[in-house]
Amino acid sequence: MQGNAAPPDKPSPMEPPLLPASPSVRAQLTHWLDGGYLRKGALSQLPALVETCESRYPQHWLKPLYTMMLYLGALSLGAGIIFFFAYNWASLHHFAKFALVEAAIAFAVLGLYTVSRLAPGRQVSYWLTGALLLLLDLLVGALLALVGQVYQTGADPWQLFAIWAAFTLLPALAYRSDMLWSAFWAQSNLALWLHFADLGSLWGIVADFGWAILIIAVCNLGLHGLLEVGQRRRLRLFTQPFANNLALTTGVAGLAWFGAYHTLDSRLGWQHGALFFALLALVPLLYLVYRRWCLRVTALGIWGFAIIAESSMLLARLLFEGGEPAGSFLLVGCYVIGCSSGLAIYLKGLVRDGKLQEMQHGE
Amino acid sequence: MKGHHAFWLTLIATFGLLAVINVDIASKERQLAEGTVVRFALAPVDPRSLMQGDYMALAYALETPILGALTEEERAGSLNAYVWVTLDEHAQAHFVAIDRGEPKPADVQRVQFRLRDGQIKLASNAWFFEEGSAARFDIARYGEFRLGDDGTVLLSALLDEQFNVL
Repeated sequence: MQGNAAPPDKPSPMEPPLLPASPSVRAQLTHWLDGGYLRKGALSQLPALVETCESRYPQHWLKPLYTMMLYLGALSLGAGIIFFFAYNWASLHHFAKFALVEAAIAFAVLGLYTVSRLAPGRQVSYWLTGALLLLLDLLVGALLALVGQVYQTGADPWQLFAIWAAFTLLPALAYRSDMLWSAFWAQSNLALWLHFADLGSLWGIVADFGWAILIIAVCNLGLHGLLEVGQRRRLRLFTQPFANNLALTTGVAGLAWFGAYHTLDSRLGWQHGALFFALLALVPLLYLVYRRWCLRVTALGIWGFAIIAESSMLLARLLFEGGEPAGSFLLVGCYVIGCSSGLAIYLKGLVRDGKLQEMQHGE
Repeated sequence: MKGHHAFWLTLIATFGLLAVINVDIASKERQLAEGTVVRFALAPVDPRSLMQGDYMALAYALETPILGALTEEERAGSLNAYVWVTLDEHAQAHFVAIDRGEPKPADVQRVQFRLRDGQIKLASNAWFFEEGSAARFDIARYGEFRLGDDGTVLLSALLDEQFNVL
């Protein structure tokens, strides 16, 4: 996940990587060997190849270290400011606390301005921008919390996270930052969850715990749909793979939880049959969307394992309803192991085919 | 979006939010300085500990008549509403009725309250103070609030039985 997601090349129709590729030649060669992309005869040429490549990029390992330290530094600076006024709460007038955080916000914006004046395309400016955006977002959240804490208006906590999420979305869109999109995902999910916890409804839709989970899951799948369509249509604005996968995972997990709750906690009836047919219908639909239309191995994995979990619970419910428990356990166990292994083999095959195609097309 | 466009959008968003927050701070400071003084009698309090130091969980005597005036259905859910109160010579608030949209009688004040999880919240239900000074607030009998024109209240002080600020 890159802080400032603006790689200079165009977005790929293939599944984009969640993490930047390792710049280490050894790591790349090991990956190719593991994947079976290199013939055995090629092994004898590897030491010379590694030496040649590493002599051209002698300090490749420094780059991820720099990035990590920069982001950790931004986080520590933000946390340091928050802890400073928290520790000196009684000694500082509240105007001093506001001034401290607002000055830090202004400095973060000034830093962004300075970085924007650097030569475009330089990788250091991507890193610095990402770190400064992280710091800015953290400080804005701290300021919102500080105002709420100082004046004690009794406002609901969801409002803080909703305002914070709305703010985060703007720099996330402006800088196309996957990290800020992920922050937006976290803040908006928290706002939704706290809204249901505080008020028990949203826009007039009254929801108990189960329905709240379902509504949050649908919202997450909506966000996933937006980012997925944007990515497939090569819209740089919405090509945010990490946030996309977070939204998908949350959405699918919420649906799975809702399904599991109703599978196990209601009288065996027509809804179990409906769930069975829904799961059956999902398989070709997911195949079309994530395999035929555009290959998304991660999405297939997330949906696939959720369907296996759901169908296992359905099977267990049917078997345990009146059957013999030991045999039922064995059958459910075999079903889970068989389906999971089959899916894992299928997904590994897809990854290998995808990599081979990438290599063949020189992408 | 080009780097400088992204920067200007972020600048506008950041300083726009800072402007809104600072206007809100100024309006709250004005309310604390100029708002009508309203004092709510406290129900027994419960000292606890938190990161910033200590705080006291507050409950108000006014909560009981408010809860009593709500319907069963209202009590079961969440509510943002207003209550009418009269103020005596010590600015202590006394319950009149729940504001249900009828014309406001003369000499009553309209105060916002929230109902969450069956509990009435009059602005804050907590009073934060420096660690180690809990004993000072043991004798608190009233919470002093400043009432805004829109019915919002901000807790400004805790008072003893003789209405002295603690």
